[in-house]
Amino acid sequence: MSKPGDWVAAVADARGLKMTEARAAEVGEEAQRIGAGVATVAAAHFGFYDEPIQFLAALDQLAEDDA
Amino acid sequence: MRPNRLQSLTELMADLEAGRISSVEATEACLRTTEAWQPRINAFIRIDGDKALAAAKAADAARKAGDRRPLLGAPLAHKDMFLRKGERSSGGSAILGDQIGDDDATVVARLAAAGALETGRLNMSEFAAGPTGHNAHFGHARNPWNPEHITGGSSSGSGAATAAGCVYAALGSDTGGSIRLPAIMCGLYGLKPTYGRVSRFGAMPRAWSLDTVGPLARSAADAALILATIAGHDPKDPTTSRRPVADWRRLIDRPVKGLRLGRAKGLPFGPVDPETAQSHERALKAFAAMGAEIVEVKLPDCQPLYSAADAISKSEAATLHARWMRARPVDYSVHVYSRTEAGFAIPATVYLEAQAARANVLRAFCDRALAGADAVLLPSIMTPVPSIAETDEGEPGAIQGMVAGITRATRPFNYLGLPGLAMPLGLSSLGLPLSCQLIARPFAERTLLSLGHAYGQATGEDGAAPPQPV
Repeated sequence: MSKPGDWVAAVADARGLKMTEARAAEVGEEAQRIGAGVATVAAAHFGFYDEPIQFLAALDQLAEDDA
Repeated sequence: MRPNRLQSLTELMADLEAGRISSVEATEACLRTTEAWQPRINAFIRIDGDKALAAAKAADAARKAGDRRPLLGAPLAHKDMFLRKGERSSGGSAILGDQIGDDDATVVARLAAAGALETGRLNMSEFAAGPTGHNAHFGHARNPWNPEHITGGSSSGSGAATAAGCVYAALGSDTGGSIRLPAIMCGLYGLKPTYGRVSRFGAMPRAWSLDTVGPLARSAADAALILATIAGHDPKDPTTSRRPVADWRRLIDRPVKGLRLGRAKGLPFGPVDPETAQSHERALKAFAAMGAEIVEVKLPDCQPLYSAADAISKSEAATLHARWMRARPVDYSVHVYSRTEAGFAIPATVYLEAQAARANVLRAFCDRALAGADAVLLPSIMTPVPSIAETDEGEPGAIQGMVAGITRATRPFNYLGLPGLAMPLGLSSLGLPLSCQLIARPFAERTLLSLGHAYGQATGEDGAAPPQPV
């Protein structure tokens, strides 16, 4: 099984970035950690997501009345 | 012993209006203060003394001729990341200084239209990408309360210069805490507005889905005066709201009596330094004495919100910096380069999941955590203000951990897009600022600023002056 660092090094190389094997492993772990955190955020519903429009609309709908 | 007090911006404007001081006198005083402090705190990247004095002279002449603009002749300076037509802005980097602006950033144009002048350009973390104030290219900004300690970042010079009295207020930007952190570490008010409240046109981006621009100031009234000037719809930034912006006096006039102020149940961001926790209890008591109702609030687990903000921030930063990271990697500090690398390894689906969930997560936060409270009082940093040595990490892995530790309580609210007011709560036993942040519903800047104003009026702690340099 490949380690996260393997594909990170390949991605970096494809983007023209220099990354050591050790650093690629660190970056891969960091990206995995972030991805795992995002997976615990409430899942998006099935539908259209035209961001930032829907987020801006939510801010407006939830605004304090007496702002 | 209570520290001496620096004049606020709103007090200066009243003095200018009454003819008790001229803009030239105020600007000369700021420049003298800057001369005394700059070797100690490195708040400025560039000082424009002659230009500022010429602008002050013109402001005095305009006032004599009947000009009554709200910031006429006010000596300010801003984080060096706002475009000006025909001028260079470094972004705290070794890369952007080559570029000449082709337009004025809306926020600086609005301040100039209100009559404000600038005494120079303020230091900042490289590319607005660091919560400490470290800068490998222009030198680290240092905290006026103790130069061995960090200012907080990334609006480091904005915090240091305003706290030291070099300027009356300054603009900063906040993508993960970059207004609030330098404000709280330097003993100031720092307002991160609601996402969309203030135009980002012409402001250097760090992560466009999270970036906000706002003031660092010595009082909540000063922050209100700056916000009232810069906020509001801007056709050049389509994300800006069309909601009207109140006059600054109205932004601080909401009575505290009857407001419901939340105290978080448990420790939503982990353990807090005991002196900071005590300062929060004192603040809650002070608000209760003013008639606020203190209510218990249960926050959701904020770590997923941090991760979502991190996914967005890193992905967008990597997108912005890819060409320079390829072509000019040696022009980046290890801090900024290493913090941006992970953006290339975050799958598009993770970035989009974070974006797609954002509106629903915001709704859930407002419906649950903010349903019974007009604002919540929270820690802004979990430790005492760190020293420069404590945060001087050189290894990429350690840098990531250090940044996460400092921004743990601030970054989640950039994901939610909510307004946050960092406010000072006096000094610690080590003589360093204590602080909290107040968080409220979207566009509730008036509630936040009114709470901050009332607290400052009640305690008389606003504008505390750090020990003068010798």
